Amino acid sequence: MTHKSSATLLAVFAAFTSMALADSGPSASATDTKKIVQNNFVETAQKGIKLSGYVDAGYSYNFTGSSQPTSTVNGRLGSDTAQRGDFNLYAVKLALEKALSSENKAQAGFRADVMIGEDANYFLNRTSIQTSPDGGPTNTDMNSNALFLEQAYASIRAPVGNGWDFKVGKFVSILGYEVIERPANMNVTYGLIFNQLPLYYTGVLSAYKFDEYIDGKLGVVNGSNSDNNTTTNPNDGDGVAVLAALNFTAPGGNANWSNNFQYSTGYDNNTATGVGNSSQGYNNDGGSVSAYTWYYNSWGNWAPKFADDKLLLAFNTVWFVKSGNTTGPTTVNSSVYGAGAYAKYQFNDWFSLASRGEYLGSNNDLKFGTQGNPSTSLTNGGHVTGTSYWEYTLTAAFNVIDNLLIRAEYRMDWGSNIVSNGHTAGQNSGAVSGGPAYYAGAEVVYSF
Amino acid sequence: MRILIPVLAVYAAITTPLLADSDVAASAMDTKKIVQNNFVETAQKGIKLSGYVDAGYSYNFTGSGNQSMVATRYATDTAQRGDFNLYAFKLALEKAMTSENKAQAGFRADVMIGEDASYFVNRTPNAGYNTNNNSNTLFLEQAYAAIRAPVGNGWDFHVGKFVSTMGYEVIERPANLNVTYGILFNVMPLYYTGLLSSYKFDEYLDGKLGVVNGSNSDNNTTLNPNAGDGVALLASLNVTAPGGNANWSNNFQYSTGYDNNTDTGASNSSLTSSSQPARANNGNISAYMLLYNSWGNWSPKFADDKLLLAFNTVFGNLSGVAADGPANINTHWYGAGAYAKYQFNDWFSLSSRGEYLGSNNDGVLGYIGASTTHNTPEPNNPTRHVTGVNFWEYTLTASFNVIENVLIRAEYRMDWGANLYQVSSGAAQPEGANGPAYYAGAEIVYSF
Repeated sequence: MTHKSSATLLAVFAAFTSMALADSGPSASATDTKKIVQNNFVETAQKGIKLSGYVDAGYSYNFTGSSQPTSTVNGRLGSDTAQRGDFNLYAVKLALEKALSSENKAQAGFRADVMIGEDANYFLNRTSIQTSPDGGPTNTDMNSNALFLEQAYASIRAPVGNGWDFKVGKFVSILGYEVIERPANMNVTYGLIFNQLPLYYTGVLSAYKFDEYIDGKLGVVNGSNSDNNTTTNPNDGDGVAVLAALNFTAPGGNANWSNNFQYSTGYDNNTATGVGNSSQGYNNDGGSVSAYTWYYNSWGNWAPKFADDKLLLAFNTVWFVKSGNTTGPTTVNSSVYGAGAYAKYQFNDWFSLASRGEYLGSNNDLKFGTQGNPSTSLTNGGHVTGTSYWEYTLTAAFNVIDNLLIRAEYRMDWGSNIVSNGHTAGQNSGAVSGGPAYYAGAEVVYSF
Repeated sequence: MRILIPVLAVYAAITTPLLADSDVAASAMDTKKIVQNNFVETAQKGIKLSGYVDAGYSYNFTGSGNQSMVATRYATDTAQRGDFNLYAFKLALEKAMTSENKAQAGFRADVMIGEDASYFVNRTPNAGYNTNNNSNTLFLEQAYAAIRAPVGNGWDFHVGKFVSTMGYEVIERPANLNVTYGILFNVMPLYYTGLLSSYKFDEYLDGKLGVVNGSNSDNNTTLNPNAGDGVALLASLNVTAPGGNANWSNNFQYSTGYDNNTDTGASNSSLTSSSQPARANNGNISAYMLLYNSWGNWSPKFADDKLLLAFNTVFGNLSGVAADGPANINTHWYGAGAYAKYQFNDWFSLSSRGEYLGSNNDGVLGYIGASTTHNTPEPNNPTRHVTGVNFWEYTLTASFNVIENVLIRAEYRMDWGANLYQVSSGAAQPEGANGPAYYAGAEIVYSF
């Protein structure tokens, strides 16, 4: 393949010169002036702008079958429930950042995070035919050409007290122990609770560090996963979501406890699906509902000193309530609650095992859709009981080459009709199954 | 892209700071200033950014409207009448592996934005008429982690999304001998998602083995109802002549079922620029597909590196039984092309290409070439055997390298063959014209 270029003089010259410099990257040694002068780099108007990111690819096998509707497992993100065996380009992520320095002075910076890949396609629209009457991407809609702007914000520090920081723009959710970046989580697949929490907001978020042990956040944003105004509440002139967080760090820094709160004055006006399919539920009467939603998430982690930093324990919880009156006669009052426990043990420099167990439940079908509730029709107000999901995941991680992470994972999901078997939202037809639905996969990540 | 673009990019990156902006460059006398220079920082050294901007003008002499679509041309190459084109803005970010035979890793990500990207996302012609040029499209061409296992001479793996192993022409127009894509390029796969390994036996022989989802697919290839889990297998064997002035590449692909195209799904599999296959019966078919490509090039020593000769061939076979139809589908397609380029001096060269592509029926090339059978669409009747689908094209390209990093090319092309272009609207038109269909165009590329 190297020879398609052989005819052009340009290419020959280029091949020669590239050989000479192929392995000499930027190195900021002041003692080697000549080398520095010969280095090539992308210049910027100011210093301290950093580029980072990763390429995340893998293979997943979904044991629930091959046909599109029957192989969907409701607790999993779309790319984690691809039909049968599927190679995945989960994401190529690029982050460009000018971070704030540690000085307590008036200063500013920025950060932008872009994800391209199959995960991006589902972050744009997490609804599916099982959870939304209008449907979102199915588990055969893998598309690595999708672009998801995860974050883009300006950060500002006001020299007030210990330094009051602000983010203005689009930023990731403050809720939850798991994050959008798979390699930063303990497991390859996303958990049940992650899939119910907001992904991002557009608005303003401020953060203040009271001392070494306590820091807090306050914010006001459009709503979960929404670039639109949250004005879907007919009794409310202008809708917003309000954010608050209070985080504690143990003396010694080996434990954290994070408490996060969100209150939305109306249904979120989802960027991809609009008011008809809010990102919080689907039985919302086309968004024309007088409602509010609040979330509370608490998570914590602890690396016990006695285990010599080899053991990490963590928990993640969620409780959210959506309450209000539809334009019809029925009161909508839905609670969702869940908890997860994590444990990771680092056996040596290159091998670790991570385990996750989760439960997620709801008092009716507002959040999970009718998939879990074949006994009640959608049109009667949707009140049903007994929607409960569970999952358990075991992940082996290998760090055998610098900057490279290799992981293998086994997972099982079970609960109220968690495998759709052809079921679609708004209908109670279609066979369903309570599982267990098995999954096996592997992942390779190169980070830079 | 095979190799030329990184090479071009490195060349450009090297020469640009030295020639274009010598005041920024950093006098070797001012070490401190150099070290403080502003540039995009990365956590590791050796990460390289390269790319190009590729724009041009094309004139299609077959007229205007969708009747002017010429079946043998890539969509951006058959825009109606005169059309300015932003073919592509390409960026590649790479941490290449070193030449050392040790355990190591790297990555590469290639993004294309522009009118070509619009058609790389979906090459089926009726999804993208030649009036649908759209420069705002994103196409993730490649994103993979590269790993070397220190086995033998070094066994390399790519995990993620990567370009096809098949064909002499590549996705990057500037790396090809001609501006427009050839007929054979349009019936080759563009990319795969999966795993590809390569091994260099010695100076003269190298090979590749891979397992992937299928051609141009992020989805599992599970369309064969008689196969539990579908994949495509790849194999290559490449021979380099002593002296390095000639190459012979042999590439093979076997898919266990119809490819499940990312953009078009099961109903329009992805192999060709035409409707592959018109008889896919919405993919619900027990089928396999094999593809063999052989190409070679030779830069004769007697011509003092000024002459380059090359060939490109393809043979494909699609065979199987429709799930609910009585007849076998058995389609062959076959083609060959010859290339010649002569570098007259440092700044001027001429390139010539002639190609033939044929098929025993309309299973791959679609209705447009099938004049002997009426065009009533029969999606459930895969029996329409016709003969005589034959396409030809000849292209002549003049290249000018008069400014550093800039490539200027002018091209004239003619296509002819069985009902090559439509004379009235509609997808299936046996009433087409045989040509010749003429094209003239020009291109400017800046590479960095």
